[in-house]
Amino acid sequence: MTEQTALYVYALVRHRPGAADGVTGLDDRPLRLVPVPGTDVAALVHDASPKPFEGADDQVRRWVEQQSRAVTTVWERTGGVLPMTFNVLVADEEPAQDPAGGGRRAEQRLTDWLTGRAAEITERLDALTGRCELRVEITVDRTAVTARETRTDPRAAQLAGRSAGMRRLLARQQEQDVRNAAGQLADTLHAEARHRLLSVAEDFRDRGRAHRAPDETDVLSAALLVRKEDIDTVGTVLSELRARHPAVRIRFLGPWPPYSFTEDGLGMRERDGTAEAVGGGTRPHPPGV
Amino acid sequence: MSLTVDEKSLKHGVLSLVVTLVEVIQEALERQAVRRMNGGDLTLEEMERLADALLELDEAMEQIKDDHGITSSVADLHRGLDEVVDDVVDKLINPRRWAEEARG
Repeated sequence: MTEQTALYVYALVRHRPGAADGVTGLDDRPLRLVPVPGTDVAALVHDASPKPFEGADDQVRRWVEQQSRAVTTVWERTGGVLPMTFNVLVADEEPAQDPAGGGRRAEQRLTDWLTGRAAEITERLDALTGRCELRVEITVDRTAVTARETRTDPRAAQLAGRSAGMRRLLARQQEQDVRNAAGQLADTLHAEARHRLLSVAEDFRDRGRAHRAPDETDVLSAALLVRKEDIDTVGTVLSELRARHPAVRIRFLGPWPPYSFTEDGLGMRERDGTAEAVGGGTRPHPPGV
Repeated sequence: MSLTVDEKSLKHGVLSLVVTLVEVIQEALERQAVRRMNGGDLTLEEMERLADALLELDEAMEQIKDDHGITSSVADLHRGLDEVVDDVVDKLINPRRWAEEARG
């Protein structure tokens, strides 16, 4: 018997013996794979107490980063992964809950749960193998919207000489012109960028912006599911967009495990850095509930 | 249940709100002023009167903010609104998120 009474589940992966060797997770705990008998699936876990990980924001952020790094390493080794959210714990069963009266150990409960869903999990893993998530944020930099896209009031010079109030109002006029021009450009670019990215990506989800700059107008912010061999093509699409419109700013992040594309089907939610306790760690994330 | 309200911070909060609201109105006024200016039917004198009045309003607002240590402004409001808009659009597209939040 061990002191540990729960498993912290990081992800479901194809079972590749050795894929978790040397990989550490929260607080540098060593990870291991729990294979699901009779299937090609394994759970990436470490032993833990059944109590959810809780702490100050900085601490939680560090844990989430450690979890994310571990998932990424194993994802790179196995090619496909269904990441779990933060704080997914499977605890030993209370003897009273087990019809057989013994109380199953956490590992048994986890493999029982996974065995019943192995076909669905395998299908999801197949669909995601060789794919990654890229985040794309496109904006228009209003300070780079050129004079060609705005007009200049022919009376500006004459007016500016009249008073400080006039100079201020002229500055407002210029700001509004730039804002309107950037808005129009953003409308055009949104349709164009979306269309072109959809032609490369297998899936596309709109996402809130991670980065906000005061002088930029939003065009598009999305998570893309792309085959690894298409990452460069996405880069090319974005470079072309930038070349055609110099005021465009692009943030291109990834490749990451496909966090945004594992929410459906198995009911696993996107990892957003929020601590989420699974009531006493009784079971993995309830599928589709 | 009784609420304990710090009178000083309540006043500051209300004043910040009033300042923000006046700034919203100020923005609307400036937009309209620019429209009239672009329309080309104002004389130079009229334009100047309008521009100077708006400048005076702006200076008065800055003075009030300075006097009362108010740092929040309509820019914060816009930033906050952008985030609310992103959030609501996301939920309208993915209604499942409402359920997730409701479940807490």
